[in-house]
Amino acid sequence: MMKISRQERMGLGLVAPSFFFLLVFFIIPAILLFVCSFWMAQAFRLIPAFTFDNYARALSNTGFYFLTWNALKNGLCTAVLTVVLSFPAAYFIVYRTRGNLLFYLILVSWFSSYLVRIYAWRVILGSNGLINTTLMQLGLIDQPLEMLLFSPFATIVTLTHIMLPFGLLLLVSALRDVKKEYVEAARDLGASQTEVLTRVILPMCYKGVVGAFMFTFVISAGDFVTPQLLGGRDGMTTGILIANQFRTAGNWPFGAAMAFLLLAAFLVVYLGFVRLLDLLRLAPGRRFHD
Amino acid sequence: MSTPNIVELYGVTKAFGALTVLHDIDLGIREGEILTLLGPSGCGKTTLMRIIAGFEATTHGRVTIKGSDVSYLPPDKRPVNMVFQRYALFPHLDVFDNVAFGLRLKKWPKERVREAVQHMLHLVQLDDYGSRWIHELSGGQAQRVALARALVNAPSVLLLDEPLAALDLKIRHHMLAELKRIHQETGTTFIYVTHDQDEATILSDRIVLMNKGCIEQIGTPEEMYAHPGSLFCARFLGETNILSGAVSATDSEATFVNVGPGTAKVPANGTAVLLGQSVSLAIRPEALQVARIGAGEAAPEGVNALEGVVDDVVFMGSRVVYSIRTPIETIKYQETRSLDGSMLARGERVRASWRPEAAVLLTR
Amino acid sequence: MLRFYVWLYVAFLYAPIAIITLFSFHSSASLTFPFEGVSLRWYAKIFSDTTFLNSLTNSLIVGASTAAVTTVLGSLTALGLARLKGRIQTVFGLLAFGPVALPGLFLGIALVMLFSQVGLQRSLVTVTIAHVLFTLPFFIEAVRSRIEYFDLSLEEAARDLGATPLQSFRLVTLPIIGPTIGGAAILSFALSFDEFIITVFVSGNETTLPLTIWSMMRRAVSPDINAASVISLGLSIGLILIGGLLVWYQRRLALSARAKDLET
Repeated sequence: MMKISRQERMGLGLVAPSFFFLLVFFIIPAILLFVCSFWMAQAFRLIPAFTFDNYARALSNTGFYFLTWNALKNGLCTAVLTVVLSFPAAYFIVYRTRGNLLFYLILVSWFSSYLVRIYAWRVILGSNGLINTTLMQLGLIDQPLEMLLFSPFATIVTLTHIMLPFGLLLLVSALRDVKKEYVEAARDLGASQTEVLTRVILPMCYKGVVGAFMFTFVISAGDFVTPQLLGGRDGMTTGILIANQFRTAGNWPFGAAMAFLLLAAFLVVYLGFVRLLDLLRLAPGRRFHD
Repeated sequence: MSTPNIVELYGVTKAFGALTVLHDIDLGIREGEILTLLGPSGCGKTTLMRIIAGFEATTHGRVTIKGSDVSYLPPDKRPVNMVFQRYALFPHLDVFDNVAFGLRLKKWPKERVREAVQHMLHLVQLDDYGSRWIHELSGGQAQRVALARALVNAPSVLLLDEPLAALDLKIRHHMLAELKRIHQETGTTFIYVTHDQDEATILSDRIVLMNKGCIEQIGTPEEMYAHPGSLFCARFLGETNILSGAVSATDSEATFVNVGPGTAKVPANGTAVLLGQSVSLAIRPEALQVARIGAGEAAPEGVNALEGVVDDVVFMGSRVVYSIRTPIETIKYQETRSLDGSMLARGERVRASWRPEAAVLLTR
Repeated sequence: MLRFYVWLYVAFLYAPIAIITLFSFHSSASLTFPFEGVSLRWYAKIFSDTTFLNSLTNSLIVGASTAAVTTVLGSLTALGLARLKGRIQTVFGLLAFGPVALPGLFLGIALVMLFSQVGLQRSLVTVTIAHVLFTLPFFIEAVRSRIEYFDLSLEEAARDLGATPLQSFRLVTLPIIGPTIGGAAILSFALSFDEFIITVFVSGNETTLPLTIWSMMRRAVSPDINAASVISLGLSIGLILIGGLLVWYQRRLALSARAKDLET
């Protein structure tokens, strides 16, 4: 057995309370949920069993694919927009400013409540909302643009707005690891500004980019509140369906099975994204010679 | 002019806001030499190097490399390469890919890249290290990779920014020898920035001593040591005794300075001095002669001598350094340890004298 | 160019918030321009609404309890992680980050499943448990980077000078990491105060502020939602600002004390 030092024994003692908390309220519930996805529900009662019916039921329903595609689409669009829009801002904060004021200004907006922001976008995008009435008063349109609200567009705009500050936080902390001298070394060796970005900065903050992308993707693809309030009929997602199973009197095992199917879809997206970065030669830890 | 200048600076001035860090610098760097920019931190030496590399723009003044004005060229378009203080080796690439970085940007064919990289790795004695990751290297090895990565681009000038600062003493001395060897083998011009006078004297063909954004003195290490042009220079390069006093007499051959109770005679070296002007004399500790004064013996008055008491004795292997308290100043005296091991003892009364040529007259 | 873009970015982030705030002071029920006049009527209305006031109180209670529990658990964990090495540290670090790597929906349904299986009534207690689970990862991440700076040999020096483990913690460790822990505690409070997605599953009859705003939103678009939103925004942003200032002020104090030491 490996020997454990006094410091390490003390460390284990200190993390023990959190470990038990996470065990009881995170690991066990997750296992329980997984087990439950094989149970049956009859007349609002759970009946322990071992059946794949819930999975089969979801996978044989074209509606499920449609809703999951919606969820993934929301997640992908939001994640791409968040990373693409935040990266230049993060770059500016890390390399072009000295103080942290701008950074803090952006972070503070993260704490403007989630629901309030959804509500704000409803006010802005609605058919009697700010954009439509302003456009009509200006005489640019004579009918309110209905597609603004209750559409995937509204969901994605709002989710992006919600995710931007946190995405930026992750990108800034990743970029801070790419010290200025690496950029200078690359310039000194003949790299243009673009080459510095693709050959040094992006591969070096790879973890941050993947983290920001995946975090944004998972949160927004799994979100059920924004699509429910802003997405309209066409914007329905798996998340709403799962939430409904648990909130109104629904079929819990079916909801659990769909949740795990959704997680599996997330995993596929993650692997795809990592593979894509690798193909674009943006992943680190690769040798370019034999 | 025997050797042409490869880099020339004309009236280079650099200001960061209200703070001027370089004042009107003129400097020529000769092809093939090792030139050291030496000075205390904040003297502007790093800024000057970064101006040559293209990382900072000049506020006024021009920089030419091989005769063409590069003042407005970005760093990637200049024929110079740099070894960074903490190397800045890319952690996402292995040793080979780090060294190949510049060549690949120039779109060299694969085969030539491989040949050039292998040749460079051989030069820095890291033949089998191509596939190592950067975090697997020791400090000295990382230093060599940084050198190879810069030199493989065959720069007109190699800039080295305190490259040994992060290494420990033993490796530092070894790397100095290595730098000299690599310089000889490649014949590249080196501009070397350091605050360490030992590194500067060991390595350089010429030293540019900088202070407060100005060039204090330029010369070979020997010249600078033997003929410091200013108090700053005398103090910065090596240990020195500074005696100050007023000029008591002057003629075509010598200047006489009142030093405490006695007088010092210095051969005239062209420095104009006025009667009564306060000046300093710089005398190296090893240029003194020290003799015991027996008990009861009268202190001899005289030229170029001071009487004092041994205050401290520091034994440094082959050398012994004494502190001697004189009426005006505590001075250092250094001698090679004598074979019979006889040394002066603390509290002994001594007389320290020097030959007139051993003192350098300084007016600033 | 880039500078202009970044200010646009900031404007995009704050515009919706600014609009909501503006219309919360609107004298008419209209949510469109032209702006007809300033009044506090929507605030008056919301402050006479007992559901709103109750949920506000509940949110403050939950936020405070969450912050307290998270601070204790999180500080111990961060201190412990600094003492662990290699694989144990990595594995536990990942485990502790797990709850925020999954969508809130997943945590919500997993917890509701647990609570129903063990027969725990949904109440503010279950809400607090869920919030601790959600805020703990953020707390640990926020404190960890600071604690990694902290040199364990400082504690050993204190022990060497005769301090008991508790004394060395109180006299050396706490003053150094204290401001960071304070800041992270406020962060936990603010996160809990705004949490909605998990709360919607694990709450019982007593509602929190986001749940109340949610049910108001589902009823109709009414201007008093603006007022409720602004109160919620003001509380969480104000709190974050206070926390940030506290941390900043403490650091300044520490820095100027050190500068004085150097001068003398």
